[in-house]
Amino acid sequence: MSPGREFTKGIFKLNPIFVLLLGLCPTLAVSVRVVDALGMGCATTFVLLCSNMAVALLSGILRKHATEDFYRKLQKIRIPMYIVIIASFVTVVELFMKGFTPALHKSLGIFVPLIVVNCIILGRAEAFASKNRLSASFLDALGMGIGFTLGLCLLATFREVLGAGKFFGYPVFGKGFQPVLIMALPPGAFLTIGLLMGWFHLMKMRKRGKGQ
Amino acid sequence: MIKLCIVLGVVCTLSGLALGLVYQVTERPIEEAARRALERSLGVVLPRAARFSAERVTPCAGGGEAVYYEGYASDGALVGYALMGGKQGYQSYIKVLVGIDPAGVIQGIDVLQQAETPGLGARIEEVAARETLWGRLHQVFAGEAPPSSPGRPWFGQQFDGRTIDRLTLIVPPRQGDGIHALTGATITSRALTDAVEESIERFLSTRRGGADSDGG
Repeated sequence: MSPGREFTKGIFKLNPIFVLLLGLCPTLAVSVRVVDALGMGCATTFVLLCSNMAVALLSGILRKHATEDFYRKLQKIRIPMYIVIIASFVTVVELFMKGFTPALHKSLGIFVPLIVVNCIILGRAEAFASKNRLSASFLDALGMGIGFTLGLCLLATFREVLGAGKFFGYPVFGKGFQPVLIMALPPGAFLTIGLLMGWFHLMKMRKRGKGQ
Repeated sequence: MIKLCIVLGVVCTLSGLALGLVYQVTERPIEEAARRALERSLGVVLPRAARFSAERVTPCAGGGEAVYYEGYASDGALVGYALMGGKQGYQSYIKVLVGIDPAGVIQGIDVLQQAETPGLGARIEEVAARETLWGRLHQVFAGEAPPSSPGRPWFGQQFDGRTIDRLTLIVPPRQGDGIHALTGATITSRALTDAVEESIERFLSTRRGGADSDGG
């Protein structure tokens, strides 16, 4: 796959939220406000970048220097190794957030440490970074991270505008607007994800239909 | 097997070292941020105080303890106390700082910590919007700076100037004098109101206890 493709596949073709359906737990939780979605997206992208590169580097070294027999045995402990690496980077992000952006840390709360168990990160480490070179893993992580952030922000836009009548914390409508509360609650996220996924599929099918 | 342990051990050691390094770098800023957040809250609940004492902990007569800060004006006169309070809300523990003057009149409250339902209970921290998105965008393109202080949450402002006997929770559609609960978030509203009430009660009980022992 060309480097450009490696990068863009995470944004469209294999979008983590709308196509792979990975990391839905934080997606439901932090897509209430666009500000939080953006912060969560950036934090996840950072962890994804670091962990993908570290895993690619580590498995590259092990593949090169370990005997074939030992390398096969190493497969038994690959998941604990990934988790240690991912958890370390998540702790780094959390410490920096606490120190330098306390307001964001306060609003994201428990979901920052929970990045550790975000399936996208472990998924990319297992499915991509452990089998590919450093540069490809970097592009993969960047694309996936941006795809996740964009998806999160798109959802949050719908939920914040309809559920609170605001965008980025500023009211969009006049005084008479009655917020659609369900959009701010978890069912609103399911509804929005479902409808958006349906719409994306419809677009894809239309496009395919035209091509024939 | 041992070789596998060594590999895992090396990975863990490297991670641990990196974490230790980051912790050292961020330790100061984290303490600083926590201190600034507390200072800001103290300033909100006791606007007339210029400086504050260190944290005071006094055991209560009926068990438990009152945690508070004393606030002084710039001329050194005592203007009030900032009391720590807290109560379980609908889905999270709500921590609140309550400022009272020596007569027990609430000067202001500030929610320190909560994770209630967004759009419902979390609105105890909602600040009334002064401008719309379009107004803000207009400002951005005109090159104007945003307002320096975002203002205080309107739910908390209801407590200003009240004493402990005037903290009745009014659940809509009822009307009357008291703290008006948030629509659809009565439990959160009640928890916050109770937390305020209890923190003041606890504090006053330590005062009374102190006066008794002085007399005896």
